[in-house]
Amino acid sequence: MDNVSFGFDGRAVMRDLTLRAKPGEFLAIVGPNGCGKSTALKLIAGLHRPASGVVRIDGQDVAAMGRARIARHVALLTQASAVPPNMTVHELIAMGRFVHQGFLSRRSARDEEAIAHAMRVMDVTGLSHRRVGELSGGQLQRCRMAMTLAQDCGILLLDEPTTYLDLRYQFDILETARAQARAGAAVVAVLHDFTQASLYADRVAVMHEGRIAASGPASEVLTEDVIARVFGVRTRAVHAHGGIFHIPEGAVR
Amino acid sequence: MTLTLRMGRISLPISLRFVIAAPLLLLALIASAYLALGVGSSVTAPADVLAAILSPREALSPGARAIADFRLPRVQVAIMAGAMMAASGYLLQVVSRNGLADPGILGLSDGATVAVMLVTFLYGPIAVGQLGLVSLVGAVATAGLVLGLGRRLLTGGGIILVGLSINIVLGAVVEMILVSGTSAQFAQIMTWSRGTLGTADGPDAAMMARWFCLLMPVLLLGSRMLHPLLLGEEAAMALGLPARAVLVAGVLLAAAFAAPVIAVCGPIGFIGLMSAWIARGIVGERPTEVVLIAMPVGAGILLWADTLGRVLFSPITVSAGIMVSVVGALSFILVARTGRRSRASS
Repeated sequence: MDNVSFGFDGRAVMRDLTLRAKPGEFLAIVGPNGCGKSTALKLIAGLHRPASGVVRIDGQDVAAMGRARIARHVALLTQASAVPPNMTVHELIAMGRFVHQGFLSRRSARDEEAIAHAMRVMDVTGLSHRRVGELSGGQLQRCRMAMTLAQDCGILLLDEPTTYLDLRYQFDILETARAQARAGAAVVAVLHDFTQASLYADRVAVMHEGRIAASGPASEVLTEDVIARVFGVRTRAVHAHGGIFHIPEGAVR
Repeated sequence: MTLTLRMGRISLPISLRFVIAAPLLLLALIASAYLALGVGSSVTAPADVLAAILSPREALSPGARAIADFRLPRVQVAIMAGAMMAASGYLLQVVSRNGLADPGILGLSDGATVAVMLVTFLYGPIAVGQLGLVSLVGAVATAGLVLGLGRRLLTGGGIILVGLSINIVLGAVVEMILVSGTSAQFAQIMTWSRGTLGTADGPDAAMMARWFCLLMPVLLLGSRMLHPLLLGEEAAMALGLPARAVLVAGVLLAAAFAAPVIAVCGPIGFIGLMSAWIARGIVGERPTEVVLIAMPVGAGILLWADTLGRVLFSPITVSAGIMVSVVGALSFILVARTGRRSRASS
């Protein structure tokens, strides 16, 4: 996206933001609450129209694309959305195929294949006939992730995919996201955890007040300076086992 | 358990529950209709019922002719009205993402009622075909108002609040029209405004059948679009659905389903609410299946309510609207109780 600005009710959320995601790359967006991370994802997915600037997918202006065309290129895992408790896991994941289906072709062999594949990847095949209401938070999130994978898109946007999950499920989701990137997808994930971002992402963009404050490899971006400037917290950065750990020391006075 | 029908490029997933429940419900509905045709203030022979359905009117015995002239259109109207209110209620529940939505609760019924009353009050009685259109204008105008006011709250519970407030205002308008009418009009409009099938006749049934045949294809073609909406507007858009347009179309379709019912029977509450609940309990969440189950359920509820209202306290007739409300209130207490128990046990 190039020089994109956007706001709600005259309150600017995004100011001349420029962000690029490349195929085969896992890009993590970190930043304080309300800095516009989620909004950035929604702009890419065409859920909001930019007030100025252009969002492009494969060189095409998203604003000129219909909903269905966008959804064939971009899959978005939204932040927790309510799923009707009566729906079965299979039904939920099958919904990822919506854009590929037609009035009379609602469950083609290809749909079935994509659903089964997504279920295997997220290890939820055994839950197939369970009702969503019976699932734990972690199971539900894996199923929602499977739905997003079933959409079978080259661009994968994940909005806080690991929030509220225990360690094991966080690991599963991030592993899958990275595997998708290795397989050629452009993956953009909003993450809260610097360590996760440093361990899994190829590139990290730090957002602050609707702008990119820093962008690049984790080791260059997730520094004590940047964290202090953006989050207002003094930390001690510890590099270990290929990851960056930030130990908070106190608020910046 | 889901089966998938495949034929060339056609593939349709159908749940086993639907395959079993749909024919059973249809059979039950046909049996109920046959029963309803046979009972009433004048006793008739079972053979008359068949004759009334199958033979031309001229060849009928007086008993059979009474069935063909009075009971048959009433039963037809009950079935179609119940089914259409069910479809309307389910559509509104999906677009508002609120299991409490119903044409009554969102004010659509009252909007249609006010429109019909105003026109009747100003111009005297008009043909039922036109009444359906007047009712549609009222329902759509109210839907527009509710949507306009509740636009920002479209996917939340907010729309229910907006609907309820408009409902209350329109209810007051109905009372105002009632008290300013003449006594003869008052009695008639009073009964109608509580929901009744007492005046249903052949032309009413024909008018509803036309609407039914017009709206059903739209519903069947569009019901697939409702599926992603179950996850909310943003998630639906991310899945590739033009969610705003589908929401507006859904509300309009719901208004169109409710309008002819209100023109003929007056506002009958609870049916949309109840049948959608029951249908979801039977088949789960796939919209096409839910609505196709909800419709015979709604038809059955209204048919039984009207028939019991006719027969139970004979010669006094209790209007179907009141019967449905009583049954509706009771079933809701049941649902609430069993719901709590199953939650406690899990």
